[in-house]
Amino acid sequence: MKCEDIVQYLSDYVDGDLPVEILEEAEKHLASCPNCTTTVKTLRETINLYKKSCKTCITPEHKSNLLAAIQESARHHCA
Amino acid sequence: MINEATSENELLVRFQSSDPSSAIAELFEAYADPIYRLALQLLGDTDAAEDVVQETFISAISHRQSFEGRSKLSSWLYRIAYNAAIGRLRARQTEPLPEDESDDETPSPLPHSLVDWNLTPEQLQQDSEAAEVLQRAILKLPLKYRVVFFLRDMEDQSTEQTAEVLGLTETAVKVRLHRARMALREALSDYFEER
Repeated sequence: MKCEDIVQYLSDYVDGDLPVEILEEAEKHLASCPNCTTTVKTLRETINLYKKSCKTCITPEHKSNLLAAIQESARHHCA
Repeated sequence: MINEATSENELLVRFQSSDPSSAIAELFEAYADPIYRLALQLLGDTDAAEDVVQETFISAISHRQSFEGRSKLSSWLYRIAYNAAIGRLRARQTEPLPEDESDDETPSPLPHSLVDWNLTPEQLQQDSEAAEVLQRAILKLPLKYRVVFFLRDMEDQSTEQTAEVLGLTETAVKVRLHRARMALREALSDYFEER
């Protein structure tokens, strides 16, 4: 497996979704390729940063108003 | 898993009853913020995103008897929200919609930025410049990639759930996720290389 081959599989590789035969080839390549190893490491870092980044929420006041409007609509709908 | 399924079934029974108010409150508590974030990713406007939250729940209440439980309630709500947001985007006519863009079938190019960097989520909280770079990078992604990345990697939806929400095959979700992740990695690596 060459760099241009493994790059197609990197996302499945970090998700642990590669079939065994491709996984073995990928790991053999990674063991000898510092560039692809860095790409895998920084790909994992990238995913982790977004996963843990601050999650925007509706303000409590707006949330309360929204829920009240939705419940009011439900009462009309279910009456 | 059984408890989760039982709890979702029990919630669904209450939601489809003639008095769904307690179920609505629970669903709103669990999903209003994720739906808001999905709409915000697509529309980039907090007021419009809140409107989508309201529209989603009202639509779900109106159509609750037609929900047959073939997907998770969360996927169904996301799907309604996604359609509501796409409807607004279509009216704006500002950028190509995911449905209007075909998938790029050329192989992913080799990464050009190979700098090794490390930034923990804890460090990110103290680093407003890097946080802004993350935000800008995701906004630069085409919508079709951004929405897949958002659901899979930022909201922890499975490939199957993401496919259900967006009306895509699981293969298409994986292809788009790969493109999104590689583009974001490249953008962050460029930033850390110059920093």
